[in-house]
Amino acid sequence: MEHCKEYRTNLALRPDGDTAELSQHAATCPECAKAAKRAAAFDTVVQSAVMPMVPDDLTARLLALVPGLAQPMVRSKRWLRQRRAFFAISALLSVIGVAVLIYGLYILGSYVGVSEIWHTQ
Amino acid sequence: MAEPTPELIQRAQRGDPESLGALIVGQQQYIYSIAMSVLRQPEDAADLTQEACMKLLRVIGQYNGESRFTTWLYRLVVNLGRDELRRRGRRVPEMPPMSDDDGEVIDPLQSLADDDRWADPAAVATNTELQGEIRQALDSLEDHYRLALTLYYFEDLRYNDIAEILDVPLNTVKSYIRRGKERLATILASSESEKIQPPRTVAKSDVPVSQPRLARFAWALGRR
Ligand SMILES: [Zn+2]
Repeated sequence: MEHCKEYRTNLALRPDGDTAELSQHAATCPECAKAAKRAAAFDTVVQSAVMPMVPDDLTARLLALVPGLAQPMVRSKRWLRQRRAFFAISALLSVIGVAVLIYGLYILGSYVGVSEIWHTQ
Repeated sequence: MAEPTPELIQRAQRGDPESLGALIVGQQQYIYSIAMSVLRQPEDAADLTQEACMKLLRVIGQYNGESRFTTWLYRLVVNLGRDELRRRGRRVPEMPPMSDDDGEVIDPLQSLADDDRWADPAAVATNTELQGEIRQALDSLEDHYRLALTLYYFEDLRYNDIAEILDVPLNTVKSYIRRGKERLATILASSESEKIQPPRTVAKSDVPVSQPRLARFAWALGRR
């Protein structure tokens, strides 16, 4: 087909030069349609590989360079994990504490005869 | 959109801490990606990103709007990366001139045509095996191709921005993109065929198996 070469050539670069005629070409040409899918798959994987995740602590390191910026705006994921663990353990200890307190009051109450007073009423 | 607004740039140039912080947060992904492309090690790339931001804070007042801000900034990062390589006594990547008008490369991904894993754009995003292979292939890709492709995938940059960042002619940039993709696909295809076939016994010369395929690039590789 006459458009194959031009279409494939444009696939590799950004479609600056794509005309409507050319973009419709893939609809009628299975080989070029395959090539277009392959190019899209390739671009997806390569793009994520050349733009790796910024390390956890880097943002805080960079913001610390800015004079006069209130610190710290950004917490590392590790800090967030630690904080979550701290809250979880605090909550658990509170529940245990309250339970022990109630049980203690109950025992105390039975010694001083509060329950008898309640019963006589 | 990676390009910051003119208002943000102006506030940052006046030294407003919040604006400088916003500028850095908005650019860190791009600076880090360039740093990774040049230095290849996460710790080194993080250090270079930090160094680039320190320099940005020092020289932001000198930005005069002649280029786009991102073009100006990424050029600064690329040059810092080159300085760092020199400081370590490592080879600074050459930017060999290339023209794009020879029409030799038609479909740079032809070598992947037989590999079904590349047939579905939706499936590759979750294919971790493929992602690992790409990272390895990028490591063995020539530096100028890797850097050009990195900037190309920022998407926001036009070809003449990339040309300005790398300090090469526009035609050379287009050629780097096309040939870089072709080269990357060739590396991927050859690593895949090595996995399927048992490794061949070492030939008399110590030439890697993939060498004949690279004959076209010999002139570029021969300077190493
Ligand atoms: Zn076609």
